[in-house]
Amino acid sequence: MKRYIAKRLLQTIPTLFGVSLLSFSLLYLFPGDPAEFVAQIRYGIEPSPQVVEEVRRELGLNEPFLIRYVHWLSHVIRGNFGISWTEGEPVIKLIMQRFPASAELFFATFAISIAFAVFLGILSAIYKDKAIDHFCRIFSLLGISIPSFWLGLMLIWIFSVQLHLLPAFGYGGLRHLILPVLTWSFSFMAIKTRFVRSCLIEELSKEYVVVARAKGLKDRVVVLRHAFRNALIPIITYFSLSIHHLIIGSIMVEVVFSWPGLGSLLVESVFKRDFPVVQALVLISGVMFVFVNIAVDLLYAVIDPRIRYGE
Amino acid sequence: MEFAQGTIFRSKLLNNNLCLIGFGILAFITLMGVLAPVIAKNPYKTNIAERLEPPNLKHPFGTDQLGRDVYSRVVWGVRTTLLVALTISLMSMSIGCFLGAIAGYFGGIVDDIIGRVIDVFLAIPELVFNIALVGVFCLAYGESIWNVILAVVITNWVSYARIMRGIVLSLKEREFVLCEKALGAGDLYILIRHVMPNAIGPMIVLATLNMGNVIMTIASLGFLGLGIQPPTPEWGQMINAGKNYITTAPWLTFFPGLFIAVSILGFNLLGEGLQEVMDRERIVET
Amino acid sequence: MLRVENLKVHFKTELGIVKAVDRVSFDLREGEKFTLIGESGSGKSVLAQAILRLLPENAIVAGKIIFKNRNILELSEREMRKLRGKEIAWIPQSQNSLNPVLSVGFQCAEPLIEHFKVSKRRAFSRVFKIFKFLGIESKKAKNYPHQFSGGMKQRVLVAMGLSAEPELLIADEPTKGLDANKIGQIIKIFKKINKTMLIITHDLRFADKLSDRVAVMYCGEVVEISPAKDFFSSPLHPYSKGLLDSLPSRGLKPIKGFQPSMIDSPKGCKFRERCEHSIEACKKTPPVITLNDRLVRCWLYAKRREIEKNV
Repeated sequence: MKRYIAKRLLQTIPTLFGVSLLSFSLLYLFPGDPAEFVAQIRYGIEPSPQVVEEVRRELGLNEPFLIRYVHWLSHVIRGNFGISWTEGEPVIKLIMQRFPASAELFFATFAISIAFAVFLGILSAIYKDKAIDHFCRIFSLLGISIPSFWLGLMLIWIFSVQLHLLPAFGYGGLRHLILPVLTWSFSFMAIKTRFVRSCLIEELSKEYVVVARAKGLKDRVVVLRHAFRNALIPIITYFSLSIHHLIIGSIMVEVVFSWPGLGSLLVESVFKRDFPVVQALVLISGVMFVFVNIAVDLLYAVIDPRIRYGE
Repeated sequence: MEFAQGTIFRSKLLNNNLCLIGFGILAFITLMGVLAPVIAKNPYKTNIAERLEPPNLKHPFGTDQLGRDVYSRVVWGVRTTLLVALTISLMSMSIGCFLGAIAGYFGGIVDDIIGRVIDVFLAIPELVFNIALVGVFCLAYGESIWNVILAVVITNWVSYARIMRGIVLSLKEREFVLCEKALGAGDLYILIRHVMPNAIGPMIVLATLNMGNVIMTIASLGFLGLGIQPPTPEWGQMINAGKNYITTAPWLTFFPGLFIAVSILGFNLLGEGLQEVMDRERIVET
Repeated sequence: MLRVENLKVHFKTELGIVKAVDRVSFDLREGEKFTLIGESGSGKSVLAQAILRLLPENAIVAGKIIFKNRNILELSEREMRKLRGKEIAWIPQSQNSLNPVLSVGFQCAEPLIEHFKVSKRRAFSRVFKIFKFLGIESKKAKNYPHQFSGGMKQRVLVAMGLSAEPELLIADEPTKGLDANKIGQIIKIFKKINKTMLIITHDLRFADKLSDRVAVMYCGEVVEISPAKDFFSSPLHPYSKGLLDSLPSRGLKPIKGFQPSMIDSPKGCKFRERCEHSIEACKKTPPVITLNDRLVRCWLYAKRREIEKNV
């Protein structure tokens, strides 16, 4: 087990390295002179060459690519993502300010989506090819086809503009959370519902299910205790993989509802040309994905008795 | 024999409701795009006197903040979206299939390198990277449709490469390929003779489902104001402009969004249907 | 105790109607070990599942299955559930019949918990007794199926069948995938079990050592029912003879040809095309002939009886 963990961690090093290199090169693609750009923001329209030179040295832009990369990486590992070009504050501070909103949106959506996906998936599997199954299928097809930003705007139009029931924009109490969570859940749960259904259908076709019925167990017990418990292993794995959305949840939903999370920070930063922030967000979301994947692999080993007690 | 199989396959396609509905939707939308000059008016013509009119006989989808006919803009938008999406798909498919095939076929260090690159691109959420890239490209090259195309292709080739690599890997060990190799067949010959026919099915399914994703990405970038720029009619960008009028003129948002959803639905239905037909084909074979 | 009358089980498939069990009648006497012998694909496992009503939805079942004066096929699903595991228990085919994520002890205790509403602890103490009886260490009750060998899994399956003290045990291919040594152990165990048993097997030697009476199935039909002693010394049906002759100890002469498909099996006697003794009459459906306490479905005996009558 320990060797497995070590091996898995080692495997991720090239990926992490690639992710960091890719996010760093984003800044390198920046056209023109970043130093001049930063100087303009700080000191007005036409900064003098001396000022630009000073900024350049301060940002370390006069060094060659590789040295700048190593320098940047050594800071990043310690959690220092540099200074925002436009806000003049540490990037990490901006990110930490926005993170709670993203996390709140994510956890609410995650909880609701899981509950519905499991419920509808089980129903679909039990009543395979019946009306409810077709309904769930259409529902999930719509979930992956309807753009969330459009759905969000339509919900705003219905619940805020027409019915005056819920606030349209912004961040605050529970009432502000409802529409964004609904919007995001609609697409978030779509594929998960299908996944639960197909896992459960596969388990229901296994021999141990007939054996369980032969013991005289109720259908409910057969499905939940026997089949679903087996299906749970791939389901938990699959659901956990989506935890990487915790960092940058739904960019589109955050933008539509002016939700002050990291997704809208990304879009704002792109418009403000605040590249250190963009770079940090790309890096963090990539690293998050890699770590979630490892965590899920280990989780898989923990929940499956065949691996847990395996040789 | 091959003819008979083809006929059975076709009859199965025709019996699959998902395929039929999906194909119907796509045919209808494509036809709209093709006939745009006939069935729609000039999408650029502004008329301040008729701004923000709700849907009526003259303007079935209403007019926008500049008095342009929303219906005409939506219909011309079919062309923009489908052409851009098709370009992106073809480009990423060529790159992805090529890299995936050589990774799977040659293995060793080539596979290691391409495999790592695929891992890296899979790790960064697509839309996050798209947004960052478009941001940089806009600054570097000014505003152009190619920014969107390039940015999406850079992230989109990965899924093709991954699937292609898997197909080639599984075929490489099969007896008939090993046999051909032993007989001295060239690499290119084997790739074309054996890999292509086996890859074409999964690739068509992937490309169909992927078209849906690409359309979603184009619309999302458009909505964020990072995509295809006005005055070119594009659905996402139309919603972006329309959202400011959501309280008074919801039709500006409603109709373009409906077209996005329906065309993505069309591709998803067709893709799922094709997958179903092919899965069943495989079951019958074994 | 159990009487099967004119049972038919047909499956609707894309390729046509599969007659898996056709016009099968036999009865099981209290306390006896009755063995159904047949090649794989002769419909014997389907018969077992039909008795427990565990067949998939596309099965069409006709005829009567009388268990303790009640027709099982007419019972409600609720009544059926009370019967399964408690009155008639099933010992399924080995290997994949155990649920991989539940401990074997719990799987054996399940019928007890379900039918007698006892606590988990009391159920387990009963399971320990059965384990002891079958030679399984009780500490293994906490283990999962993948930690067991094939022979041990088979014992666990027997324990599962025995746990709720059923009146009738149906064992489906209990020797499948086991080596000669393990088969010997299973024979010992089965001899110790003092219950009415319906054993389904293709293993003639296994049947020889255990059975009181045997029935031979061929292509969905029962072609012969005889006391075991008579069967192994003087089989009646040409197919039975062929089966016995194919044993290594009796000359290893396999029957020529293949079992016909169950979709469009030949009219008349289904063994006709492989039979050395086939006569013109065999093209018509053969009658069931009673000879003392034996039954045989073959024209040869009809002729012989007629001749005897005439003399």
